[in-house]
Amino acid sequence: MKKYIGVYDNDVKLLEGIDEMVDEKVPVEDVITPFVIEELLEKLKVHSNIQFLGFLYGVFAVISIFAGLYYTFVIDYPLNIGGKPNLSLTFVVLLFVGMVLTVVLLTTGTFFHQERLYPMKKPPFEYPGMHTDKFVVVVDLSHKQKASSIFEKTGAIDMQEIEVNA
Amino acid sequence: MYKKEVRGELILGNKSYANITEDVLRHQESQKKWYNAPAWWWIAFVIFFILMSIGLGWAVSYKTITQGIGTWGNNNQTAWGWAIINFVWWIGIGHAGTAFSIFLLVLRQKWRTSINRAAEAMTIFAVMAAGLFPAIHVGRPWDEIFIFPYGPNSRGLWVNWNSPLLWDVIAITTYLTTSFLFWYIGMIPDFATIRERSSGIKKKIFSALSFGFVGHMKSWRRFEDAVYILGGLAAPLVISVHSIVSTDFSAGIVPGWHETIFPPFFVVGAIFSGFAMVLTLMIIIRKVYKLHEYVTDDHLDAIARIIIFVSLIMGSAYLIEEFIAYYSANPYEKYIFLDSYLKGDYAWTYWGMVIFNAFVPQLFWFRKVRRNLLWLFIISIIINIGMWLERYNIVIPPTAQDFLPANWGEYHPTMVDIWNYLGTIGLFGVGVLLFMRYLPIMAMNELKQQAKRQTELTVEASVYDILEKKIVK
Repeated sequence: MKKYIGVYDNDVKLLEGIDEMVDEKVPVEDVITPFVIEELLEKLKVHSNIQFLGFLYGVFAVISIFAGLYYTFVIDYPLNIGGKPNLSLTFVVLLFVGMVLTVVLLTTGTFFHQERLYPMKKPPFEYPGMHTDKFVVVVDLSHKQKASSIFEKTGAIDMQEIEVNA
Repeated sequence: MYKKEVRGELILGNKSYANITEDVLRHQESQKKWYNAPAWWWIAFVIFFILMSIGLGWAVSYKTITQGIGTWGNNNQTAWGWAIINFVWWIGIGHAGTAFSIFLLVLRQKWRTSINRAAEAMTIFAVMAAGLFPAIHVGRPWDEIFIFPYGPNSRGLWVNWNSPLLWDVIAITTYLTTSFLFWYIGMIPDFATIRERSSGIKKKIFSALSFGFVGHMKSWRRFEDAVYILGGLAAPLVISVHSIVSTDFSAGIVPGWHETIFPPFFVVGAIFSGFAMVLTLMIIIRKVYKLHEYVTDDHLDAIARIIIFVSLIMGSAYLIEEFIAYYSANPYEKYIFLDSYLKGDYAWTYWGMVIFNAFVPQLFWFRKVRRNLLWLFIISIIINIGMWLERYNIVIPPTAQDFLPANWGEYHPTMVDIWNYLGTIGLFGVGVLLFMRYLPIMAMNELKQQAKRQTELTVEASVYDILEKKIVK
């Protein structure tokens, strides 16, 4: 799939360019940066549901670990240790630690799944320096004309069509 | 109004984003072959590798596993000897790596950026070293399956969830997993940077390690969210894990162990020893890789200030322990704290601990000491020795001299004990050296974020100055 990219070597210019594109209603498909730029994510309203999912994983973990502990230590436990049911403060410690382990594993799994990350995966395209000090703005080819004038105006160092692997 | 940052410039030398990448990867990229490394690296690697091979090969794998725990100095009185001392010592060191990185992340302390990666790596290797001791202490490591809740055993019993030792296994497994994932996920964008800058086999390896990560805007949002969730969960975990380690002791009725102060005392002790180890490592990394523009005097100063604060807590805890033993009027407690520790057989370890942990760090009140690399290095090593003595003090005297004097017995480590310990030092050293040689030692993506913030603040400051001058005129 062909896309049109504009490359900046300065994050201030990048943000100016993004502002122009938002004003001119040129849809920005993606921006690839070597580090997190909070203003950019806010401007383009980029959200993720990982925090919400993390909360759900926590609720799931607490309920299931409590159920497991209750079954193994109260319902299915044949010994009477100082009285039954053997529901003790121990549960608090294990619930907390077990919840952390479950949420950490599931959140990591979610991150890898949502990002489709797997060993030896090839990046969709490579532009020299895009993980070092270059900022790449990707737009659809249909907006090439408008985008190129904005790139030029805001000081992009390079503009070109590239092949992006889906 | 312009807000001045308290800590001033955290990256010196007006670095561009490309400079940051080049500086952090310089030691890797200047070596053409995978086996090329500076002479100091090879010398240190060979020494640690020999320690690790003898320790883990001869002492752990041969003597301990084939002949059993009888080869250790443990006896009827002291069933927990060097193994548990070293376990708690390593766990303590392992805690501060994550504590350092995560507490400062959650508190949004930006000066963590140059140091967090090495501190997290230190955690991983320290926890691996720590985990070895309980694993071999069971005597028959192949029976460790029984610790896990694999199902009711032949008598219909599930594992005993009330046992702090079981909590320990679960807590440490969780801690190691969380710390490793936090460390690894943080490195993925930096692996992508190395992938971009390399070729051949190195590119293939870092392609595999970076999982094809690209800094899409959505990826960064997910990355940040995932890292904050892991960090937010690991912060209380640091406190809970070492509290659990302390309940291994305080749940027992042994005089000297049965104390409610143990959980906070252990947590603070862990942070203390870990910060000292972070200081040791960062001084070495700064020196050998000439990274003084990233690990600045201000960074080391900040760590030293935290160490003063924590050492005061440690000193208070030692005093409280003594006072409570006196105030309890319990003859067994009084004997351990007021006789054995202060003037008895174990006075040397007790006073060593007090001097090394409570008094020596007070030198950090002097700015000149905090700004002198040699002093910082020496004191950080002294604190680590002091913290080892503290663990010796907790484990040995109370068990060697408990309720009945007729039961008393001296504890002496054997060569196997000593080599078990040296083996873990070798393991830690080898791990840290491999990390220093092959992985990004600083979080480049976070440093770049910091550099951006710094530039913005400088611009804001100069605009503010210009406006102020105009108003005055």
